[in-house]
Amino acid sequence: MYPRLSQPWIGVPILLLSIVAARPVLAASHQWRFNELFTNGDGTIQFVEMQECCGFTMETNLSSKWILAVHANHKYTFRSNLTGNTANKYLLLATQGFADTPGAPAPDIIIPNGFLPTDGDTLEYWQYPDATRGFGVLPMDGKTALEVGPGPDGVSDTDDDVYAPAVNSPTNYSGETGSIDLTVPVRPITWGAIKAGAWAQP
Amino acid sequence: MWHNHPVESAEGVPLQAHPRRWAFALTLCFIFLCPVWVLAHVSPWPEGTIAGVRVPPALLDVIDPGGHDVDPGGIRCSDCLTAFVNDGYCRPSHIGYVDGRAYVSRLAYLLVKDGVPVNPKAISCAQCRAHLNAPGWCDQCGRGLVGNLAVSSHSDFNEILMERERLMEAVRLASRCDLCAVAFYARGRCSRCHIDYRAPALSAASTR
Repeated sequence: MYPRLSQPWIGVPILLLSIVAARPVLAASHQWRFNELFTNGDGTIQFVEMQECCGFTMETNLSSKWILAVHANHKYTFRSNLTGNTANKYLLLATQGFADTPGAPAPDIIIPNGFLPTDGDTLEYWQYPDATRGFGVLPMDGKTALEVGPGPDGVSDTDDDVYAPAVNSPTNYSGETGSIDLTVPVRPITWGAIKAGAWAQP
Repeated sequence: MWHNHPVESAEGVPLQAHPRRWAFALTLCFIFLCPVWVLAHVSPWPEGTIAGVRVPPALLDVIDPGGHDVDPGGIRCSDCLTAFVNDGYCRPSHIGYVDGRAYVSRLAYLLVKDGVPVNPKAISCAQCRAHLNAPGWCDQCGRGLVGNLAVSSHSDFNEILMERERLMEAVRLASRCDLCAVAFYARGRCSRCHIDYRAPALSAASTR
């Protein structure tokens, strides 16, 4: 049974309350930082991992913001916003080649091949100077990435953070993580190899 | 008033309209649809006024007057944690904390921390009333007035005035390029005009 509204005007305050309660929470996107960069030799397998640095829970408003490799003038503009709690979350932007590589977590966003210049550049995130990071020549051994760590002040998430080589560990927005190893040649599986039991060995 | 008017279906079968049911259904629709409508039509960063200065949307984004919810467990910077507990400002991270919320500009932080809204009609001091239009410090009342806020800390008030000056320069720049305005205020680089505002000597006036 539906409630009997003896006074239909009771709907008016309910309506007003609903509008007031619907006051939107202001989402933003200031606190995303470049966290890890990876490329192979020809730039077909690359990823840029970003991370919300500071525990902000509503850094979802990415749409129409961009990341830019300044000197190469390679720009990617975000097309949509994020959902959910963003505190310390990762965001994985990667090439299709990366997505197709065994061991790679699913990228959140596909970027064009060669987005990251392999010989160094400066990455900017929209107009947020705190996010700007310069990087040198990227490792291209198929395993090593450049990862952000604390700089001379010993404190993370500050202006003097630096990139240091580390084994790649890309993580996407849903928290799926992995590592790729391009030094292991991908061999086609043949019937002969399966019969010999060699297909499962590295 | 509500009356029960019997209506007929297409087949001629009388139907009871149940106007109260309709009223209830309509109210439910409003309750559940209004938030969707409001969220869909309100820009997250509408043009607004900060410290008495009318600010365009792009600048609002970097001044961030509303602040943000923070998960304290997600704060990795020890200076930030200290600031979070003490309503302080972490200079390395450029984040201020007031009552558990985070502010990513010094101006927003100072205004929220120190600013007390005043009712212009309730101000009896002539000097304070004069500062409603032009910010200034009232020695008699021991407070500064900026916009509709009163600030009791003289040093913070001076800093607010300096930040406000910078904001006004940025607003002037916005008439030429909104991204330059943002870059100038945030001490960054305009990716459209390729002007770098990080150098302290570079002022908005010199790039006009």
